[in-house]
Amino acid sequence: MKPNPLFTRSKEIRQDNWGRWLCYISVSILLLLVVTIIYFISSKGIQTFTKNHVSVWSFLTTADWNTGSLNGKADLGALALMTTSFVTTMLAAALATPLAFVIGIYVVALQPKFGQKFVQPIIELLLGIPSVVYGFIGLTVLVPIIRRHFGGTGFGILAGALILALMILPTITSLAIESMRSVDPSYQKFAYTLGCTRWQVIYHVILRISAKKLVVAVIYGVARAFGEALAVQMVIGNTVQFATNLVSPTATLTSKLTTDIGNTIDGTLPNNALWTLALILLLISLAFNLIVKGFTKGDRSA
Amino acid sequence: MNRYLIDRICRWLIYAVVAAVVALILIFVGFLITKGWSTVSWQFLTTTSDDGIGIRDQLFNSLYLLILTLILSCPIALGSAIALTIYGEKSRFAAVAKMAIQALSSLPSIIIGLFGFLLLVLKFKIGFSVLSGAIALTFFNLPILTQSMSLAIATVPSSRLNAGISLGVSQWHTITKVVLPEAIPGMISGVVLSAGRVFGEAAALIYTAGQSAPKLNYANWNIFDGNSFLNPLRPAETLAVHIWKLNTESIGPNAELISRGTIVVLIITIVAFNFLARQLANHWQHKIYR
Amino acid sequence: MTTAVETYLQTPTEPIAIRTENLSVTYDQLALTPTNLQFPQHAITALIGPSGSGKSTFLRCLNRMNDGLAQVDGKIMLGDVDVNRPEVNVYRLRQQVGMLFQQPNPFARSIRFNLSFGVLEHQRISKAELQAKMQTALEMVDLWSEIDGDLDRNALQLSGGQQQRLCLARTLMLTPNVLLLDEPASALDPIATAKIEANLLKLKQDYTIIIVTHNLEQAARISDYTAFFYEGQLREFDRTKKLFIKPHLQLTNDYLSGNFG
Repeated sequence: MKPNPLFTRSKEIRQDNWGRWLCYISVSILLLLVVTIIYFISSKGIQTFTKNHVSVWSFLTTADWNTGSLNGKADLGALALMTTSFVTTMLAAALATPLAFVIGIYVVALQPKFGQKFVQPIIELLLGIPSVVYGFIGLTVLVPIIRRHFGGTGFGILAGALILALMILPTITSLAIESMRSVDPSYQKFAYTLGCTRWQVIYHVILRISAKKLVVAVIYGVARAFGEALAVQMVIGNTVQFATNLVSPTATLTSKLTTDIGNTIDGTLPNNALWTLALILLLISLAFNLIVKGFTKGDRSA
Repeated sequence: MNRYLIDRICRWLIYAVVAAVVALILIFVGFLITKGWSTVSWQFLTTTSDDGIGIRDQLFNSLYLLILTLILSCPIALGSAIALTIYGEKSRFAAVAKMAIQALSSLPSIIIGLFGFLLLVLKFKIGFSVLSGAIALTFFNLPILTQSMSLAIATVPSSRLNAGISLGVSQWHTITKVVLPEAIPGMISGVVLSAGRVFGEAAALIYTAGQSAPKLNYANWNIFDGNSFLNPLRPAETLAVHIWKLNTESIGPNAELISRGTIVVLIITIVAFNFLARQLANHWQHKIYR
Repeated sequence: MTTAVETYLQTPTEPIAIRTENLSVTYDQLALTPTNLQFPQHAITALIGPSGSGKSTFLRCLNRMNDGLAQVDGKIMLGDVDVNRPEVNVYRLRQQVGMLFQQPNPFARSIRFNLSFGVLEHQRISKAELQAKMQTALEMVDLWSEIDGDLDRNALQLSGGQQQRLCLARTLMLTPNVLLLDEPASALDPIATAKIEANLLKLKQDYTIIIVTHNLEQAARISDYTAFFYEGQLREFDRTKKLFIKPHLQLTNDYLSGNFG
C-alpha cells in the first residue's frame, strides 16, 4: 500500500526553516552592528574620564584644547568645538529652511507639473554630489570670495554654514515636498470654495496641516549638517577656539576628529580625548533620532 | 492691503526665489563640469600620479570597493528586508530592528569610518586596506539598502504570498520565486542609487581604506601579491578620498587641476548611476506589466 | 459561555468527503463555536451568513490557512484522516484541498508560470505532460479558447473574470479533491460571475466544492447544500432547496428575506 502523502515528511518545512534562519541571521548582523558601534565608541570614549581622570564637567564646560605636547599639562575642553558645531549647523539650517519651504510650496501648490518634472530633479541633483566636492568648492571658490569681501582668512563659520546650507537644501526640500503633498486635497478644495486666495490656502491650510512634518524635515537636515565631516573640515580653518566672528578660523567636533585621529597614538590621552568627541557626536546623532521619533509618534496618534 | 494683492506678491516672490535657487544650482553644477572638463582625457584616466596627474588607480580602487561593498551588503540587506516586511511584519523584534536600522542610517559617516578604523584596522589588524574599506562601506550602506529593499518588497501585494501557500508551496519558495522577482525593479534601482552614494563616500574611508594608492600591477592576478590590483589587503585611495587628500595636506602644484578633473569623473559616474537606476526601473516595469 | 441557541442540522444522505467535529477557532476570543458539519462528495455546499458570522474563518481552517494566526481546536476529517493534527503535512494537505480567494490573485508573470509553479514545486513532470495538463486545466475553466492557447501572455493582462478563472485553473493543476472558494465572484461583474458559476457546476462532478458567498441568489442557483452561520455559530444546515423555500429557524428566514444582513 502506498503511504498516505499526508503523513510524509515535508521538504517545505525544511525550506521554510532555512529561509527564516537566513533572514533572521541578516537582521541579527544589523542589530549586532548597531550594538557594537555604540559599545566600541562608548568604551573608547569614556577612557578619558576613567583612565586619564579628566573631569566630565570640565571636559564639557571648558574651551581650551591643549593636549600637553607643549608644556606637559593637558587642558581638554570640548565646549568651543561643540559650540562651533551647533552655531554652524543652526546657521546652515536657518539659511536652507526658508528656501526649501519656498521650493516645496512652488512644487506642491503652485506649479506641480513643471515643479515635479524640472525643479525637483534639479534640486535632487545636489543629493548625489559627494561631500568632498562641496568641500572643494568651498575651499577654492567660497573661501577666497569671503576673504575678499569680509576680511580674515576666509575660513570659518560663514564658509562652513554656506556649504552646509547647500548640502542640506535638497534633504529638507525633498522631505518638505513629501509632507506638503500628504495634506489631504479635500481640505484645499474646501478652502477654495470658501473663496480663499491661493496664498491663503497655502498659508492657512497646507503649511498649518503639515507643520509638524516640516519640523521633522528640518531636524533631518540639521542632523545631516551636524554629522558632516569632510566638507566642513575643508573650510572651517581647524583651530580650536571660540570664533570671535563668522570669518575667523575655528573647528567643529567632526573637523577635529577628521584632522587629528590619524595623528595621535592609540591609547594616549590626546587620542582618548578624540574618542570622547566621537562619543559626544554619536550621542547627539542618536538624540536627533529620538527627537524625530517623538515628533512622528505624536503624529500617528493625532 | 487687500488679500488679492498679498496673494499676488507672495506668488511672485516664490517664483523669484525658486528661479534664483534653480539658477544657482545649474551654475554650480555647470561650473564644476566646465572647469574640469578639459582635464579629463584618456590619458588622465589611464595613467597614475607617478607619471603625472592621472587617476587610474584611484578610479580602479573606487570601482573595486564599490563591487566588494555591493557583494557584501546586498545579501544581508535582502535577508533583513524579507525578515522585516514578510516574516516579522508585526512582531516586536521587527519593531526593534526597524528602530536600530533607523538609528544606523542617521549616524554620520565619519562615525562609521572611525568605528571601522577601531574594529578593523586596530582590533582585527587588517590595516588600511581594500577589505577594511569595503566592510566600512557595507556598514554605511546596509541601513539605506535595507530600507529601499523593504520598500520594494512591500509594493508586492501580500495576496501573492497567500496564493503560493494555498498551492502547498513553502512560504520560502513563494518568496524567492514569486515575490522577489516581482520586487526586482524596485530593488535594482535601490541598489544602483546606493551605489552612487557609496561611490562618492570619503569620510568612512579615510581611516579604513587609507589615503595612499600604491602603484598597481594590472597583469598580476595573484591576489596575495602586494602589487596585484586584486589584493584586498593593500591600501586603496578612492577618487573622493583623492580629492580630499589633495586639498588638505601638502597642496601640490597640480592639486586644483587634478581635483577638478576627478570631480567631473565622480559626478558623471554618479549621475549615470542615477539615470541607470531610473531606466532599469522603467524597463522592468514595462517587462512585467507590458 | 453562550447560552444554548436553537439550531437545525440535517444529515446529508450522500457519501461524505470532508467533515468537522467540534471545530472551534479562537483569536483573542472565541470566533467560532464548536462546529459539526458534513460536506457531501461531488456536491456544492454554500456557506452563508452576515459579515463576521464566522463562515470565512471556518473555511480557512479546512486547508489550515489559519495556522499560526489562530488557535484551531477539534477535528477535520478528510476521508478517515484528521488533518487538523499537528503531524499532518500541511503542504500536501493544501494540494488536496485547493483554495480560491475573494480577489483574483494571479502571479504577475506568464499564464504558463501561474499554472506550472505549483506542479513543478511538487513533482517531476515531462514537458509534454505539463503542457497537456495546462491545456486541460484551462479548458475546464473555458479559458483555453479565450487566450488562443497563448500561455506566454502576462496573467495581469487578463480581465478580472479571466484572472479568477486562471486562479481556479491554477488550483486544478494540483488535482485536489476539495475546492474551497472564499467569495470568488464578489469582485466580478455579472457576466464574469455567470462564467465562474458555470465552471463550478461542471466541476462538481469531479470535486467537492465549498463556497462562501454573500450573494444569496448565487447560493440558491448553484449549491446543493447550504449552511447558515450567525455570530460565530452554525445555525442551520440543510438541502439548499429546503433551506431557501422553508427554513426551520425564524432567524434563517429573517436573514433570507433581508430583514438583516
